[in-house]
Amino acid sequence: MMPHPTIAHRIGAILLGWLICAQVLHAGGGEMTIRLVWQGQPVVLEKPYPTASGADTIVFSKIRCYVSDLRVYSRGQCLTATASAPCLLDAKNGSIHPIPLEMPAETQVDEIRFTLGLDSTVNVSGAYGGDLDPTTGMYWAWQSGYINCKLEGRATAIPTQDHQFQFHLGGYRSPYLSAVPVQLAVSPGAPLVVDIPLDAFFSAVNLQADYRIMRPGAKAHEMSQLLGATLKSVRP
Amino acid sequence: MKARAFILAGLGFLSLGVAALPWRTLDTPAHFPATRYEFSRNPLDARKVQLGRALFYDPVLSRDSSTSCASCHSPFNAFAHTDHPLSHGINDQIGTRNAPALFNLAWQQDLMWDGAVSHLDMLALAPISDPREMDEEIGHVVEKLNRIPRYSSAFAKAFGAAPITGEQMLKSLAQFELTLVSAEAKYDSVQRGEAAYTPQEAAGYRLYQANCSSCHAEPLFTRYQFSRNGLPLNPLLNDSGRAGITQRAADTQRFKVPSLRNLRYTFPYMHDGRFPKLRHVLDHYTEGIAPNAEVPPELRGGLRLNSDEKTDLIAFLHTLNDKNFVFNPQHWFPKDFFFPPEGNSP
Repeated sequence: MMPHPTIAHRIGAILLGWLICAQVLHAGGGEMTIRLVWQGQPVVLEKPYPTASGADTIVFSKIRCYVSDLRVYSRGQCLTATASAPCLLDAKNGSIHPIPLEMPAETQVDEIRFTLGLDSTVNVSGAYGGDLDPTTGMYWAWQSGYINCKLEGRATAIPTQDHQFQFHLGGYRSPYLSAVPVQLAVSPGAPLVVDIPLDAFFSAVNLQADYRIMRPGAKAHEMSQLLGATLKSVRP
Repeated sequence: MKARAFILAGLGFLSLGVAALPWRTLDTPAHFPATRYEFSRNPLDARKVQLGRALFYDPVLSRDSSTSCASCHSPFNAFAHTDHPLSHGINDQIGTRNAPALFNLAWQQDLMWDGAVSHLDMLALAPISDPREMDEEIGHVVEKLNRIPRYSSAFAKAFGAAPITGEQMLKSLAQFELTLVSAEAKYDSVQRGEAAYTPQEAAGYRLYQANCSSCHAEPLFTRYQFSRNGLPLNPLLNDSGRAGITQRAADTQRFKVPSLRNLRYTFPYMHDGRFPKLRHVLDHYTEGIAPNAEVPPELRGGLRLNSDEKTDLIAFLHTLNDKNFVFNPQHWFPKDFFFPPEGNSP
């Protein structure tokens, strides 16, 4: 007579199933890379970057952005069963960030979709760990909500004594949602690489007028849209 | 192989479903509505509640280890504070708002007088980082906790993983705060059919229903909405209230409507603590609202209550004082955590 399965047996069965499933999915895993760049080159913190006009020089001291809900498509069909977990890009750890993707092997991705920032649900669902842990410094303390992108540094054109800029772009309440949906076409079969060209963003910002945005609102919304619009896929 | 893996996983899930327990939540009073807190993401656990309780009383959360949550939220004041109209923090700094009472938090969504905090888990971040309260940074708090053996040990037991994280700390604090349920006042006994109002309390209850219940609805004695109540702006504080968060002009000087429970323990009243006595509050509602004040329709022109009616109303309001809650030792300073008896550790 077979012994009656205990809870330990059942949990063992789950773990075994999980392990096998994970291996099957991993076999087809892919990767997307997001790069923080200035004129096509990876950004280095504390390095001076002259603007295109030559009228200003920008030095970054902090660049952090959330990327979430990453999915890849082929001919309009989503290839990723579940969106990837939110990921914090932090220039402190380098400017090239590979993000693993769970997708079938040997597929020709022709489109990437993701959110630059975090959706409203994450903002109002309590404490999370990992990249969303508030100890990352990306959660506003005086009010609820994540900062989707943090850009800090110095620019000679800023008319203050310390010439510092601080863009803390966030906000999950309508009408000032600052998470930006991004949809980019990619070359089928090519490596999945997306650039965040900070030179393009800063060429569109009037730093003499806008150099400190630290709260949700119309300005944060506008700047977020501006940053999101600069993103581009890198084609071979 | 692939099919077998999925079958195995499916069987495993089924067995787990049979064995799984429901999310541990609060034992909510029968006459209360459903809670709003999402317990599935933070099921109550006695060890986490006790950790949260220890953190609540521990000044290590502040920059100079001088100020704890309990410094402004005393259990004997229904977790409000009565020494100051406005909250005080490290280096004897004074804030801009009256420390709100903390109870029945599982029924609330937007916290603080202006609703700045939209989830209980994140509530502690605001006072920890406010330079006039604790002037600390959560990352540094977590570093400090990881260096304290009693916390390392207790967190490992509660969460099963090291090191301590911000998520664990915030969820522990939330768990303790969720247990601060006030539902044992005389009013609650009357609701359960175990007590009866005196004639004066009954008269006060009728006055409450006619004059106060639209904003301070039973059984929580608030709808937790944001409203104006005709208080003139304090020019020294210049507090725009809810508008500071929503940035909508329509929300200017709207503040969260507080519960009427435990008023005996939570004076002074209003968001800026301007009224030391309940009688002053009622006087405001009868005589203090300017004719052109932008207030809800129920308050236009002020309430009509004579002195005897105010006395009756106050008699009813006293039936909302929950002595069992205020003097519940399970909410007090956890002496055994900080000073364990010989041979025991948390």
